[in-house]
Amino acid sequence: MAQTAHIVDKMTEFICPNCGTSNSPDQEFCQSCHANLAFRNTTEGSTDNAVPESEENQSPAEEGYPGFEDELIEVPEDNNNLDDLFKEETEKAEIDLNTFADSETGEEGAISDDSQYRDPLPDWLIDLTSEDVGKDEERVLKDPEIDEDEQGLNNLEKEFSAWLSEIENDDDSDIGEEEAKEPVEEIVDEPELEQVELPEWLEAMRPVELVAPPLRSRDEANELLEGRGPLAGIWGVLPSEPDSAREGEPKSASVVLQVSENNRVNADLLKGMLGEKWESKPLASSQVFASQDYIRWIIALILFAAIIWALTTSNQEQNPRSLNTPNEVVSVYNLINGLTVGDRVLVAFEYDPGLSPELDAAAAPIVDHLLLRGVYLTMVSTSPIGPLLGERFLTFTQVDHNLRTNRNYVNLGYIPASTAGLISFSQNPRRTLPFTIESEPAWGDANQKALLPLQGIYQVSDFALVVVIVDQPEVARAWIEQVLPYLQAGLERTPLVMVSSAQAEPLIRPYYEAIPKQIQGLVTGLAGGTSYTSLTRRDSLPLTYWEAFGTGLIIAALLITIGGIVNISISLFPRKINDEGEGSE
Amino acid sequence: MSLVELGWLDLIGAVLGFVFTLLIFSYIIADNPLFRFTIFLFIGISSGFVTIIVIYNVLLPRLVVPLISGNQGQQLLGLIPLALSVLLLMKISPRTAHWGNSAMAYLVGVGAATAIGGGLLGTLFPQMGALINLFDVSGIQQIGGNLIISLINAVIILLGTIATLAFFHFGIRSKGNQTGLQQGWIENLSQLGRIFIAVTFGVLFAGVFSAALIALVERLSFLVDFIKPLVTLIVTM
Repeated sequence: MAQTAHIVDKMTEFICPNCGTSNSPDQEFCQSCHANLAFRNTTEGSTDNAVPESEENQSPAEEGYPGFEDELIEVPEDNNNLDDLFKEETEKAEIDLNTFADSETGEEGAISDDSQYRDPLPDWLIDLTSEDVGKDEERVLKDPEIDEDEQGLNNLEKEFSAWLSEIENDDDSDIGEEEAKEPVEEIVDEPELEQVELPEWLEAMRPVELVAPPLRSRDEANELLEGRGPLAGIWGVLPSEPDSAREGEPKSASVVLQVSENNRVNADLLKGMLGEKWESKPLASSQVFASQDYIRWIIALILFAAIIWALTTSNQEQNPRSLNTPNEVVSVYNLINGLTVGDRVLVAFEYDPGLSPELDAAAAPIVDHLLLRGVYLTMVSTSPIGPLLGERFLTFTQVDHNLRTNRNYVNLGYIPASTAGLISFSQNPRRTLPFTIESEPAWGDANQKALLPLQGIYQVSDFALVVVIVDQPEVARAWIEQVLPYLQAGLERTPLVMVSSAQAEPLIRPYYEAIPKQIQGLVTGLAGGTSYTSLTRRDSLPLTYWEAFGTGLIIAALLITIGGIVNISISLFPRKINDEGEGSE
Repeated sequence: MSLVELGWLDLIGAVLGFVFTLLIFSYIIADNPLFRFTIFLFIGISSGFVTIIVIYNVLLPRLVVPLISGNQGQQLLGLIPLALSVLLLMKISPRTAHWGNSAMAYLVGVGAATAIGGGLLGTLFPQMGALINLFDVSGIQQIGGNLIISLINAVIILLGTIATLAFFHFGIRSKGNQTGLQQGWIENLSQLGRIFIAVTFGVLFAGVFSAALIALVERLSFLVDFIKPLVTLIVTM
């Protein structure tokens, strides 16, 4: 019952005529637009059917109006029952409709008198209806203002219908005489325009008739015979397809393109080009003697066998003394020979692990020579993995020297920031690399001396020699461009030498060949290392690989030569066949 | 050092090296999962090692230690790289990437200035000077070289330099209705430059092949050194 009361409350809300906002009945002003709602009381008071305020919140059922108990729908508390309630009401409505339909068709058993099915109106509604109707009629008759307004409206409707009849008069002759009298007279008074035949040239200028179909009158449209679909054969039905779809294609106007002779030539040329047959020609099939896998296996087998044979049978005691030693290698040898015991030498390990066999072999005799001279080594690298490679290099190639870290050499680790880091290191090595790779202070302070290999070093030019072991020409160039100016800034110019991979040599050599030389020495690859070994006359790593390397090179050169010959033969062979074929034809 | 003389750790390292070498060589047969596993393992180890180096060699001693235990000046100076690092880290997210532009601009600017300055003063001008000095007769006589051979060498170097530069000259001219014509002498010179470039690439390829061949020799030498003692042991037993 609470919900019922709520619904009634909603019904008694007052709608503001100004803005349409619903307001509670006790408000004097609209809560939205603040319009004065006081007139409501006066109108309510003036009407007889106004509900007293005390009775507004009371439902008709509560008031005991007959029949309202049946009409009011009890809103259940449980929302789940709403569906069931709606279903019941729908079924009731369907039953009523069926009953009504039966009564209309007059079937047997149907009840023709529907008054029996009408619920008797409640007394209050009967009173209300009769009173309202009577009062409204009286009010209209008695009130002169309302009378004038409504009479004016009636006159307007009459004029409007008369005006409409004017328009329809042309097509419809069934209109009554009284309604169409005046307009007809006006039309009759005016002289009619005579139909004039247009000249042919003017008719030709009406392209609309060429394209669009002639307009049909409404009667013609109504009398169209449906020719398609289920309504075929019926007159005056709405078309199932638009008119435009029924009509055929519009007549095309002939267009003559104004082209010059040049345009015509170009068009013919383009037509000829597009008209050519672009047939793909099959590629000449190349004869393959064996699959790529077999070739790869055969080459690997030959190369492996030759190298292993050379490694197992090589006589490492035989030193290649007859090897012609290049000048750049001799320069390095002379520079190192000029060092004194206790000199500090900077060694940069600037290569990747993949090229460590070559560069280890090339640098091993040089570092060996340096250690024989009794110098201290300082290792750096602009590659993060360089310091580890440096440690590994000393461990595996300089075992005989019994090196101790921070005593014979120091590893300052990684120089970050590439070229900018190199400049920073050249300007102030103490600030750039303050710690060793073991995170120990390298340079000391007021209380502690610097590590032995770094004593007396304040700038990069304080080193007696700089050796860069490098595999990339870009890194070598960075050392030359960024560090070399600082090496030459001191009173005694510090020489810079390179130990490079064979793949970087062509791009580093110009710095050695330049006049004046930018780098003072260059040792390249295994050949350079072996040459240096021939100078130091010490058993070293390059000699281990030298014979196998030479054997491998010879085998590779043979394989390349054989492969080249085979390729040439393959390329010549089909041409010969073609030539024979053409000759026989 | 013989395999028998190795310690346990070295022996384990040698065995691992032997196994991984064989796995890498298995690529000769065909691309296979074992080869790829080995490659991924090497890449992972390298990345891990680089990370450790960067942390212990760069971040800790140059950023963290000055900020924590440095004096006031070091702490203030440490704030600058810290701020730049934080800004650079914002590049991770697209929403905050624009905050890292200033740090990135600083890096690129410094790098470009360093490279350009070094390239001009360290390579271009000295190499131009070297080319000019090749024709310095008094200089050649001071060195004591053969004058004629030195001059021929200088001419070849000069010709090679100009011809190579001409090969990379792509300027064309238009004459009447004919367009896209390269001047005849430049075209001929560029053909000569092509020969020099081909020779250079040939030398570079020979260098790359030489480096790779040494790596192969070193690995095969390792395998021979690993297997030889084992074979000797088996034979003696």
